[in-house]
Amino acid sequence: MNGLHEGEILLDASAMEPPEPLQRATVILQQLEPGQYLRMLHRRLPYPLFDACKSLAIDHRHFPGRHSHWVILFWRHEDSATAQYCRKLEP
Amino acid sequence: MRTDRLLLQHMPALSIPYRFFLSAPLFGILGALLLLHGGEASWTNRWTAETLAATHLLTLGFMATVMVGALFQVLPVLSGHSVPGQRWLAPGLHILLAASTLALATSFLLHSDPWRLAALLLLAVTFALFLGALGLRLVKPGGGDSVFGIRLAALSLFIAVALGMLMLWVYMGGHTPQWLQQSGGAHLRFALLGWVLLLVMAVSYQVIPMFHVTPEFPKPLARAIPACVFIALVLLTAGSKDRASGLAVALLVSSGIAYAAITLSLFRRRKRKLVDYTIRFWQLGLACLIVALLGYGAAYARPEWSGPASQLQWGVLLVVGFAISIIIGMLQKIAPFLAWLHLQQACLTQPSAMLTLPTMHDLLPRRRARVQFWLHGTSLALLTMAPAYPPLGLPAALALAVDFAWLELSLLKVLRAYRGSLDGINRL
Repeated sequence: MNGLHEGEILLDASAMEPPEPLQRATVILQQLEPGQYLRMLHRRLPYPLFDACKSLAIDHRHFPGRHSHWVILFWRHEDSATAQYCRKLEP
Repeated sequence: MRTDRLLLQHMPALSIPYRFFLSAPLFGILGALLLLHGGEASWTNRWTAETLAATHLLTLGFMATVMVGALFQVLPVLSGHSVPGQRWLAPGLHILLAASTLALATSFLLHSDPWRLAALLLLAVTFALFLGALGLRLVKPGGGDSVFGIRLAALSLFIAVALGMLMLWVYMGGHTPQWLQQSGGAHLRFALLGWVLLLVMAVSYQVIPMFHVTPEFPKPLARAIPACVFIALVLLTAGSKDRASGLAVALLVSSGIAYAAITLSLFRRRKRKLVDYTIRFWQLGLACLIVALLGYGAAYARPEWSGPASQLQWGVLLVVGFAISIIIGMLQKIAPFLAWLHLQQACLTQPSAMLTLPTMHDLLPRRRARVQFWLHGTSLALLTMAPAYPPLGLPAALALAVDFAWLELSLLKVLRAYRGSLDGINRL
């Protein structure tokens, strides 16, 4: 389940200084369409973004990455098909 | 370390650290104006009334004020708990610290025992409250390398303040043992190389990798270096001028230089090498630390090289060159970052407002940080030369006043931009 998904938006924030990862991810998450999800690569877990997700009705999960410390996936709460896909993605 | 998780859970209100940040440059301006008033005489030796008063306006009024304010912000993040009673403690400590600094500076200027007594009492209450609250957090087991460093810094602060108060007591004619009457050097070492250097080390382990995307400070050295600095300071104070104290000076100088050299190498290895004036301030501050420590080692080995002018230059390099450079540099980053983080939190109830959030550079334009760097560099260069050529004292003091005034205006700009954005969010 690690193949490229056409609805994937990639944000490599591993070399970005704060709060740029949070700023960029917030803009992407607000415009996320059904069928799309955000794959974020980050050196830390972005807890402030997780707080923002609650008010944006966005779900997320994370796992350690191969090329970055963390991989974090975000999708719309009501988008059950994308949710199912993201939950099956392997670390 | 659970920094990110704890950042928001325990983040104090913006007003708690910001009240300290906003008032600190005013003490810097006051210190600079005193040097201006003192004229060339202020640059003849470090014991003149104006020099002593100005030094304490810079160290207590500017440096300690920012550091205490920053600890209210940083400590909950590092230790996982808020400072107890921070809602009343922060405004109370802020007023007490300001009052003690002003009373101490006045006591130096007026040579007045009632003012010395007032300063003594105010300092005792201020630092008993601050170190008590800090101690309640720091005595709890655990914490990472930063908390280890902050523990040693707090211990150094306690020793520096106690020795400083004893010196005030001696000025008032109070009786103290002979060995304590010569404690000026130890007071200065524990204040600048203990409290300030150890706190800078401890905080840098967190803020440099986080803000500048550098590798982490090497784990085995993150505790060893502060421990060596603290041990050296204790040995220097306890021992007489013999081989042991020579080794202590060597340990102190080599540990401090190792810290500065490693930190400078971390900046060279950062992933994105964008122009960043906070980093320039760090590089300037660490370079001054290296030069000051080499000068300290040389003065110990060759006491005949150490005259009143070189002692003043050593103080300028450590206070204005090392500590104030790094503090001003960090404020260029921390002030807009904290404002932005509070705005982001305010948007949680208004998600649509997130798209209207200002950027860090909207809150504090890069141009302002660049001007700040050159103003500070100019005042540092003039201040370093003034002890050797006292007529430079006048432009040096003026440049220092402008340096702090610019900082104050930048901090006010961040606050105005924050309030404007917050009003916008609340109107949505």
